Amino acid sequence: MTVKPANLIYGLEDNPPMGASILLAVQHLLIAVIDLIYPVLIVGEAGGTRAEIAFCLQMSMLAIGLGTILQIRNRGPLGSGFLIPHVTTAAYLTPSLIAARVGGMALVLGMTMMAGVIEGILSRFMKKLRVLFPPEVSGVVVAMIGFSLAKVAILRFVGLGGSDSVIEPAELWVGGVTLSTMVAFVVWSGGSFRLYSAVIGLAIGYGLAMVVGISNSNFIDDIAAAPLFGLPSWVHPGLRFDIYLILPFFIGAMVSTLKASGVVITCQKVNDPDWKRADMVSVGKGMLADGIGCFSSGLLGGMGTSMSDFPWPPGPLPDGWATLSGFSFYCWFSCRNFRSR
Amino acid sequence: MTVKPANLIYGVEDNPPFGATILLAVQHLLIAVIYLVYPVIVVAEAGGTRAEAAFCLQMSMLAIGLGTVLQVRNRGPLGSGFLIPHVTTAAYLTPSLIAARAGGMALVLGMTMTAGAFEGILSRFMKKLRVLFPPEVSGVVVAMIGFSLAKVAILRLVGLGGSDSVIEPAELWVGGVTLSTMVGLVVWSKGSFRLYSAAIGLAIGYGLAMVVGISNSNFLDDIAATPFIALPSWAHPGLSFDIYLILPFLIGALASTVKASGVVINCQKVNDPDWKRADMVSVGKGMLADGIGCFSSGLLGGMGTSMSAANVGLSMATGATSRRVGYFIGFFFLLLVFLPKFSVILTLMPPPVMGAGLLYVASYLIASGIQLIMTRMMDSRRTFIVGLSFLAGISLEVVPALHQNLPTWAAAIFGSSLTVATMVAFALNLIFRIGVSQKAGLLLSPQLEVGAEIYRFLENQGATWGARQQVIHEAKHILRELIEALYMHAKTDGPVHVEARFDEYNLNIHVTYKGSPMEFPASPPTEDELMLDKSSLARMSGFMIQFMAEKVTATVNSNLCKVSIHITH
Repeated sequence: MTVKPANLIYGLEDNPPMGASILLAVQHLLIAVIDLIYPVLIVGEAGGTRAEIAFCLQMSMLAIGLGTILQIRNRGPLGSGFLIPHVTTAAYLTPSLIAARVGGMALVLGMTMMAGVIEGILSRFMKKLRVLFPPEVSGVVVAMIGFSLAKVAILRFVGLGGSDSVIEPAELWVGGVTLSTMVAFVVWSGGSFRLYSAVIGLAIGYGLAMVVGISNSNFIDDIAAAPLFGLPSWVHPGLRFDIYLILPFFIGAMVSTLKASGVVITCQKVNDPDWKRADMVSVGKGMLADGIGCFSSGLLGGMGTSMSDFPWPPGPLPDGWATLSGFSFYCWFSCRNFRSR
Repeated sequence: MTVKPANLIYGVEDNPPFGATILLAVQHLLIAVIYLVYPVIVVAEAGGTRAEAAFCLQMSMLAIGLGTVLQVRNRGPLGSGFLIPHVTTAAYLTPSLIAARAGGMALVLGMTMTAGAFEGILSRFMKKLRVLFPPEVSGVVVAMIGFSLAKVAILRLVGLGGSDSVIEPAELWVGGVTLSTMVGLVVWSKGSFRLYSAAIGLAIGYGLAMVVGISNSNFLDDIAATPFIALPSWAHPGLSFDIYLILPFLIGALASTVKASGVVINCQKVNDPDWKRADMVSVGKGMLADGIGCFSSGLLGGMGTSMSAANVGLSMATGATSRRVGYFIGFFFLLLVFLPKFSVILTLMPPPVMGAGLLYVASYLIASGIQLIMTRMMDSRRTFIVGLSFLAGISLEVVPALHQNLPTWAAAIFGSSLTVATMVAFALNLIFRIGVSQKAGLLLSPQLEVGAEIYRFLENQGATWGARQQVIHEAKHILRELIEALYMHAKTDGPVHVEARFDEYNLNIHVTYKGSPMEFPASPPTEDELMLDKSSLARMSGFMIQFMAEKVTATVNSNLCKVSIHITH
């Protein structure tokens, strides 16, 4: 057993008391919530109903839950054994949007399964991958994920898209205030406010949208009408595949693989004060769990998931400029208002 | 007079023999030729004829020749005195295209003059500019110039644009082969092939276009019909101005200023082996010549010019930074004005070849913009400055609906991704300056892991301040050495207080402790002293710290000792 580093309060093998564990877990949920926008967007693109959106979201969360548990286990050939929650990931957003347009949700799900399989396979060829994807290549890919979201984000930010072709000042206001809130909290606040900047921004955005009346008119009624507890209503659209979509999903899988390797290695460093070199066995096991999580998300009816790289509070960011575009996308992107179209 | 560095064959003051000078100057012309595409594109956008394009090109070359001669001179208040040729610049391409659409060539010329005047004015406010445009902001500007070329370039590369809406395979082939030739030569070849990759690629592109028949049908006839030597036929469209276009041209001027400062400082370093810090006087004089060159280009009938970083790169690669070569380059450009065949050939450049050339230039701009951004350490402020400004610029390119049906004044701003990205970066930089404390403290005690504490402290502060990585890296080593020396040799057993202060130009670190004062001798203790005298170890540490830091002072105030370290930023 390795020694616990001095700057950790609870090391990997420690068990915090029940109350503290719950509190810490809720914090992680708050950080992850912003990534749950992606399934909403994709079903919207496929022209799905609100019920279908809810289903996709629920199934994504089901897969996230299962995947996270697999990821954390430290026995057997699966799972890195570190505290690495899964989330729905931006890496599959653009591919999924294409799939949604081409063949609806069934195609999204089928291709998400496929992406999971690809990641599982890639995890076996880690060494070769390094040669094919040096930082200047993977950096371009990561930055392009950020750039490719510009269109999706800006259309919603100014309130255009679909049949809506007028930029209304109210929409601009909501988007602007939401974005400024998020950025301001990250830049000027300290401690937990900084960590939850995205959630705070989202909450303010929801509130403001209600006040200025650009959210769906029966927003509150809809929430009141939904039961507190309930089984997800099963609206699985089936599975479809399309050979032409393999490339975009392959790229998504590749990005997830590269990210997974960075995340697991960071975890190794944080948890081992005597860390010398990356333990590629635990990296490979982590990737496999990542791939299986993604696969099962597609199978169940959710969108692609992968490791969350956000548990580390904003500090000097690891991948340099590539990461920063992705990071600022988070905030930019989340300024969309939450009308279901 | 400074000593000539060993790696230069001809220093700035040397006079190479006549033949060698001519050869070197021709090399520079070959490098610069690719930038002469811009005037042709601008005139085409304004709907000008071939004769007008030739005129604009000739006047641009006239201004380049004059500007280069001014730039190279080392007397008076004008000119950096280094071998820095001027060329027509991508920084003014996007603004000029907007102006060409809005008010034809007259507006382009008027605004180019204005831009030259701006640069002259900006050159007087260098110090302030550095605070307003730190590398992460100017890096965004440079990279966005590259990104904003994408549309212009790709339309020509695939042979679309104007009335032509079919992508013909022949056009794709010409563009593809031209680009691959340029890139292939840069990547795999050596020596002169590598240096002239752009010129060779252009030549192959012209040839291929003739073979597959996509160049202008009477290409050869047109060239043959042009006289060898002739005065430029005067086709000056007049000058006009538009207040709404000031912003895009101001941004172009700003990008030129930033580039000029980088180029001149680079020349200073190459020509002075003992280079310590930038000589801002010669930078300012260089910028002024740059601005005057641009101003006169607009006045005469050409498009905006500025210093060519690629040519300076060539002079370093060939080891010839002689001023005399600079004069020759200037004269050659003046000579080309009166050789109309040259201009006609350039105006007949097949669009796919143009597109390939633009992509080649844009790659360099994007990469050097990113490089510039990454010279500073990233924190959340800079993350948003870079991310949001890029996203704002790119959003305009991908969602054209954003800038349709806008009033004239707004179209001038939102019509260009470069302008929007620059404004966002500029504004965010100003806003985010709020609340950055330029002073930070750290309390160290012997129980702590001192090395790790120092690293974390300086890394975090460096990122918050946006300091250069290199400077923080040096500071980490010096501070660690000092603290360890204090605990080992200066009888310190209590806490040590570290205070770091930063502004754009200096990083000062003050260390206060209780114990005996440290010595920082200018020379190390001798071997004998080290063997015999235990206290000389402390002097050895002191010497090393003194050697690494730019300036170290030690003061004693009653029983409190203070060491101050200064590093120039």
